[in-house]
Amino acid sequence: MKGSLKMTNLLSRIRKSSKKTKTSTNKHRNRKRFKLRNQNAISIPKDLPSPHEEEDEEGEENAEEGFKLKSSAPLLTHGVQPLGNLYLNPGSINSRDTGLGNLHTLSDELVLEILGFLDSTDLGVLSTVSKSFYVFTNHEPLWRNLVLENLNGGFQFNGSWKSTYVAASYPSFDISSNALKSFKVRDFYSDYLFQSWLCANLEMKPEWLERDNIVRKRGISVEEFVLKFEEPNKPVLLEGCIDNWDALENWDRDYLMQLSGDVKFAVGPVEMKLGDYFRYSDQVREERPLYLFDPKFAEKVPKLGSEYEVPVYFREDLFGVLGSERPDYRWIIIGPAGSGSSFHVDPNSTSAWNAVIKGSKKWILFPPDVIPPGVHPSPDGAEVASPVSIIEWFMNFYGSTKNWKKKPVECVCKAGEVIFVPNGWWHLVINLEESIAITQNYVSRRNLLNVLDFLNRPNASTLVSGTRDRVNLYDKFKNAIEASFPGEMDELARKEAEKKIQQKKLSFWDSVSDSNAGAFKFSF
Amino acid sequence: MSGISDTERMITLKTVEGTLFDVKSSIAKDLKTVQAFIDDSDDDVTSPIPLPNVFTRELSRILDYLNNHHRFRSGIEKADEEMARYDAEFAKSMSHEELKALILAANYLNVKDLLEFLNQTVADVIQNKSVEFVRNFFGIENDYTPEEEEKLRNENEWAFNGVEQD
Repeated sequence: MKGSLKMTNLLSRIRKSSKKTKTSTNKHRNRKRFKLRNQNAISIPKDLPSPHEEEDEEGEENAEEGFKLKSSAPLLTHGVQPLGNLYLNPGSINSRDTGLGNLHTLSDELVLEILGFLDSTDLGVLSTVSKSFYVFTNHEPLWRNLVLENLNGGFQFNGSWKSTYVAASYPSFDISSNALKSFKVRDFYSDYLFQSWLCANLEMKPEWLERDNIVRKRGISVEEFVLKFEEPNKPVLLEGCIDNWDALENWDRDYLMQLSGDVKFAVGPVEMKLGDYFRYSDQVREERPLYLFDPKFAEKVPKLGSEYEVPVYFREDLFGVLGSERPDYRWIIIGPAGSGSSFHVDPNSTSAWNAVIKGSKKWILFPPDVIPPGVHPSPDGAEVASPVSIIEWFMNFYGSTKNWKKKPVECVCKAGEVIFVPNGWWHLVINLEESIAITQNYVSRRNLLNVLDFLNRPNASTLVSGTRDRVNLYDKFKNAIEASFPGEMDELARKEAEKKIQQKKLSFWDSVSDSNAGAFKFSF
Repeated sequence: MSGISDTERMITLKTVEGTLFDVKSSIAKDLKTVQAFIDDSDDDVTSPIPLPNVFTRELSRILDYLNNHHRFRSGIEKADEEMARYDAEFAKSMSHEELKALILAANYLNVKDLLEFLNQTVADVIQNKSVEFVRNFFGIENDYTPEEEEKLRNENEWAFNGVEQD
């Protein structure tokens, strides 16, 4: 925008500047919180579940129906309302500001960043300073960070992150009798905190699930798959190709618990026992639930690895030549409704398949040349700034895709179905219910040159993921391919060059012989 | 390793009061908001970039910080100690009001490292202090009733052991 500065307010993660923990899905560093748009007074639609805390003393009846947000009603976990409501209430004071004193000129994000440097005792003490401080210091993400940093994965989720932390760190303090009941504040207006609550409690709207335009195929041959989908790099949903999996028959929560309840799996930045994870996922109600996403599940529990096999379409997997030195390539994915991954492109320029064993997932895919609305990759592709949560993306950006010419590919993938995600495609996934899935990334001959190019980039060491030896991966891989498939790369390169020449020829003739256009078409 | 300035271009920034600052492009990179503006511009930016939210005092401090940090980073070994000393002095040299104003400016200009440092500085002030201290320091009115406050204290009793008494 000429003449004025666009204010980019990249919200750094609310945590102490600590080690960058690496997970296979953690491709996002900076996140942007989009302010509430076009929303003044909020009346919550009927499908919104009522707040989960117990009713307050006044006995407000908010039960099953959904409710309208009155300006004086202390409704939310702490009674936070959006700023729009303040403006409708002339003469009203914002207890947020009075309670912060001269800190009130700082934005919510800044206040939370400051609080993010404090430890639990400080937060506990500060909550008694004023009602405003109460709301801020009880912001769950702060406590989530404390739990994840200090307790690693060894925690028993206890209703809320704060409660979990206090119960674990101050065992002599009787949590239950002094149940940290939520305390309602009045006249507290804040878009950021309201949005945070909203995103944590909103369910997927039916209209977000309506569009299902992916191509579905059942029982096609590998040749047809390669010709129609892999080669042209198009997504497809394959039905019936994992019917023979033992996993499909056996895997449910009880089975997995019996098999591996005490095994630690990778969950976000930590490792957790499966049993502890389920305890968390049953209770949690937050914007970005922790997601179990483990690249070593077959090594940890060989039986799991033995109960599935790679569908026939994806068996050519050239990273296999690297043996144990190959980057992470297969994950078990378990998560509650609302968990998932916001927009990203898979690493190393690989393609992927994702098979749902239990539950269901909503997918949204954009082709490589179309950046999804609300997503801002950095020029070198190393960082992706995207809305904080999947729900927030749906609330703020999904609607705009309806009018786009380049509509995204969408579908709901159910148990027994497999989706093929071509390399370079942007995708977003959200679990609509508790789900168990397996996903793998792979490289076939159709994709080999792309991957080599990617690994050979000058900034490969930051971009390449899933392996410890990033810088040498290019050399290793190239040599290994040459050893196992001598001459293959040259052959592929030759074919590729030939194809390009063909395409140039075509477009030339196109322009010369095009009588429909009437005017001479320039093709540069 | 960041490249040595191929062309150390100068960018001119203009504060609210109209003061002009010439800034090396390598420094301007740390002002991410400014950098985004430059990146988004089709042509080379020749005229001064106006910063409608930033005052001279703040910009001057920010540039001072960045210039020094760049110097420390590109210099010799003992830089860490020197840098820590500089940072401590830098934080101490400001009143609370000035610190807050600087946070807002650093936030607007998106100077990540400085912002983190400033936020940490404020956090350091609050750390381990009593409720009364915090209220006085920030000029906060206690809006709890005595009953509410007591109830809340009980609920957070685990936090109060070991903190300096009011």
